[in-house]
Amino acid sequence: MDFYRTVGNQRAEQYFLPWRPVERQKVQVILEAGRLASRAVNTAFAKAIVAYRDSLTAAEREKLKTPFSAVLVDTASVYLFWYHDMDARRVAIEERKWPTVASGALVDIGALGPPHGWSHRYVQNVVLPEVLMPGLDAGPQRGGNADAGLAMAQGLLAALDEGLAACLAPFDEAGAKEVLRTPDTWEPVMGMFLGYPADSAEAGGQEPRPPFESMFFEQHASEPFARDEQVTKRLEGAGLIQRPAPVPWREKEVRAVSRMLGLPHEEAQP
Amino acid sequence: MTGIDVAGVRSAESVRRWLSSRQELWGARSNNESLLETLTRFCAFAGKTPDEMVDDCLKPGKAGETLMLRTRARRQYMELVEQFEAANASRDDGNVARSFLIHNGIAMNPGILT
Repeated sequence: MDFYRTVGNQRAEQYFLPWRPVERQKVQVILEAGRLASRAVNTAFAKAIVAYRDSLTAAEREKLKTPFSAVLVDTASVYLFWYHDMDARRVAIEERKWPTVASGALVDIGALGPPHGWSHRYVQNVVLPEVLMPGLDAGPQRGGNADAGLAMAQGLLAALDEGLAACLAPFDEAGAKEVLRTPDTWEPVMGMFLGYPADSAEAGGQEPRPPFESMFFEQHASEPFARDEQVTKRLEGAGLIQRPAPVPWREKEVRAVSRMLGLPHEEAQP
Repeated sequence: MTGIDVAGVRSAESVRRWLSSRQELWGARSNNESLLETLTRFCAFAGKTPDEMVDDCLKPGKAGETLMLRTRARRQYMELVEQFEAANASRDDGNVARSFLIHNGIAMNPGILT
């Protein structure tokens, strides 16, 4: 699928076909895309656990639910639990198992080198003690991690590109720790619930957003970034900007899908 | 600094480290005698030996082998390299001096040529 259309097709899908499984190969594609996401000092902050709804017991599924994710847990056939590994920086520095800044491999492969003022000695004797190691003594720190979020976002786009529907929602941290046996140093980022959509591809239209100019600025924060209408039109043609929600038939679609799945629905009064 | 020549520069620990690191990264053919000649001229320009320049920019940390980058000294050497480059009208000469400092652990970030 074209990249712009994939981005434009993103919906927080709420209605999955519970009987249709997601192919394991497609799950791998999602993980491969997440693995290649940009990340600071080339360190693996992102971790994810794949769980299959039908491989979990009803009691285990209950432990994963939050008010936001209860229906998703019941209807999505695959869950990806994304985590921020709070211990990743320490492991990168102390164990040096992977090609990270700390291991010196980024100088070796020419990613960072003399043209940027970097050398092995700079990494080992200056960057490590002055930049990467301070704060390690305090132990793992919660507070989220942009790189784990980036990996998840890249995986999300890959899921859409594979023809799947997805919804990101929080999951119960304590319950997931019990079911998934995660280390203490893994901080939840978000659950990615995956499946095939029960509603139409437009699924209610593109989700509304605040005006572009209220979110993005140029040169300084009081100067909105003015849209070029020609660019906007081109993106509409490419499928990145689509018909906004709701489409006229959305209400009927929600009722029909809810009936099909046995979810609560409110029929119009005669 | 007393009088300094190519032989004295060659024998400095920081110069041996520089050449070794360059060779490791770019191969043996990356090193040649003209590097030492240019660095010797830079030393004369700065009025410092190679080891003195590195010591000016890096001080030992509390943990033994770790080093602390002296921000102000680094900035002064970046300016000095620019002056050396301008005095010789040679970007290549400036980059030899930068290479020496970089491979000794002192990050150099010159502006690009536009």
